[in-house]
Amino acid sequence: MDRTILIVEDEAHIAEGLQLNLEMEGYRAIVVGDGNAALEIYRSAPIDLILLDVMLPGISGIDVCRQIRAEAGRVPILFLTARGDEDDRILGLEVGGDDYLTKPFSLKELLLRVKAIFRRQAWFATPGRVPDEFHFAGSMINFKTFEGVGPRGPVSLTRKECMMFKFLAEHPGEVVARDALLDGVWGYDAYPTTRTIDNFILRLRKHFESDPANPTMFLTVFGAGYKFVPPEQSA
Amino acid sequence: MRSLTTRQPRRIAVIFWIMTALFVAQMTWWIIFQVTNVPGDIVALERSLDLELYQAADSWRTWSGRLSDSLSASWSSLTEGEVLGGRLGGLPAFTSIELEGESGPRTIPGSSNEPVIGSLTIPISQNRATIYFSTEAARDWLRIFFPDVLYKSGPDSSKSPGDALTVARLSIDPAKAELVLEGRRGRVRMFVSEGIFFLLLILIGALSIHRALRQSAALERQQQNFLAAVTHELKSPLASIRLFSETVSARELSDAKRREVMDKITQDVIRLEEMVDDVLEAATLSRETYHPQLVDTDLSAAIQSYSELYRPRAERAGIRWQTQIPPGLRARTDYRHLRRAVGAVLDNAIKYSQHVSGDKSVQLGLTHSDSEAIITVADRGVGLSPADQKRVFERFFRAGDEMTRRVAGSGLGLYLVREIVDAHGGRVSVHSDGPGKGTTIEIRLPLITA
Repeated sequence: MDRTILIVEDEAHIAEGLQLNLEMEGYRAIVVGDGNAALEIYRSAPIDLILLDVMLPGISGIDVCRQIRAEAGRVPILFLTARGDEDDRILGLEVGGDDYLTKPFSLKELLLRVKAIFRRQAWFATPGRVPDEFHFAGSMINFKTFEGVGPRGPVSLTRKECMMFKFLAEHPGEVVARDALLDGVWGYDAYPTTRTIDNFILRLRKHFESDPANPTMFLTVFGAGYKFVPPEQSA
Repeated sequence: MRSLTTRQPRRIAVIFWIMTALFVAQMTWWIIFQVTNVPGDIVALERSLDLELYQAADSWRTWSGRLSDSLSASWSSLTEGEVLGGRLGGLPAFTSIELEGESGPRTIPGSSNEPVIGSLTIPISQNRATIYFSTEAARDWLRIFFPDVLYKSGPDSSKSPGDALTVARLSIDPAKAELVLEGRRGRVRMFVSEGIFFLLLILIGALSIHRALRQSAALERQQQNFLAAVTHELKSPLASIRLFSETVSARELSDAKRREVMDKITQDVIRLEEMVDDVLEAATLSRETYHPQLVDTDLSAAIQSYSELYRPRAERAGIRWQTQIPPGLRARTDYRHLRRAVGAVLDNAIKYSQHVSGDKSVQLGLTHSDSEAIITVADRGVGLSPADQKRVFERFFRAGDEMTRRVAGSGLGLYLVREIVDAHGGRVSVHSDGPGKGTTIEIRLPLITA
């Protein structure tokens, strides 16, 4: 099956280099140079992954991602950007980006991440030990629709939040090491930073804990990793 | 760091405006307080002058009592006015005194010939004495003891003679009242004008602080823009170079493809080089010690050669390249810097024209006035708003938003142009009819006349 990757990049050389390499890897690659064109292509053709530059003419990559997610688009998005400070990465992940690469990047790493995204997507799409609709303590999460119901009403999650929840839920009551989480959710262990993972855990607590400041389900095990304790086990 | 720098000035601005509002409120309150509490308030004034009136009347009665005692004591020996003057100190000039006693009526002529306007009858033992006095006498007496009280009217027939001089017939000296009121008005004027002066001072201070804050925020934004632009401008070619060089080493490429890729690497290296040059040049030109090496130059030939450098790129972008360069114009220039300045202007003309739809053209002209060579570069590109026209020569200034920019650049180009032209003793100006209506840059350099 040919996967189609949309490259949104206004720097012609980088776009050409990406296209050349992705095509040599057997993907179909479409190149556009600005945000509006990216949205048009995304709406009209089946796209399996978007490589999205942050600084774009017209509308920024961040806004393109927001727009796609607002239209309930679930396509994985890998941000490419020249700006690499922590705030920018978190912003990219918060608006629903799946991953983040800072320019200049290594060709090998880029290809690795593209593969990892497809691999983890396959894992995420396969029903495993956890059903697609997972109920716990009066709350619910649907891994297919990225919707949930928390103690404060319905919540809408990003793909990564769902993947993280699913991975933790597959290991209830176990301490999941940070490395295992990285490997399981991101598919490699070079990225993201501890702070980013913490950030995701905080967001899951905000969605599902009755008191996010005193979590009872999404626990941090200091020095070891994280633990998901479903309420019937904590009783 | 980014979030800090955008939040901090806002907090300062909020504190600043609260302080300003407090100062203005305090000042306004002070003015109102001072104006409403000026001493010599009309009510207070009347009260104090009334008191004076009562005191005068009272004093008159007291005096008449004393007079009565004195007259009783000297009843038998009372003779002419001089006797009274001696025995009854402080008695105002009187017209006459009538004494009515057991020994029969007796009249003592007084010292004044003025018409009688009042009388004071006082009992003396079983008899009584009536002192007749004139207006002048009453006035004299009042003037001595109560300078602000006037004797107002003639004798009041309804009153008993003993009350000849009563409150009813006394009044405040209008000149005095006017003086007090004028003093009060003066103080009100002083507080109002002083208050307004201080209010203005506060507002001017506040405005200048506000301007300074805004300027520093704008500078901060510009520097952040510069950082973002430079990051983008440095990292993009770097990313491309890395991507292509890794591609070349990792992949089996055809010779043609390999050459194409290597060409792109070279182009990116050149782009990097230019960017680094711009930044270094800006640093050099900002230094006080910068002096161009000016030599006699054939300006016509120089401009012609720059034109040929940029023409191919413009034509590739579909831009009509029109020149009008008469031969023989000479100026003292630093060739390397002049090339950079004119080159930056030409580069901008191409960059900001290539994406517009419709007729694209760049006109490069060289003319002269009596003393100046005038290089004009006019494009039909994106144009500039009036506000942006004022700022294009500022360091790091770039029109628009860095995140969604169509055209690459550091915000240094026109800054360098201005610095270089200034150093040549020339002037540079920008004109645009507005966004979408093209831009004209004019460089004027002192001419060498043969």
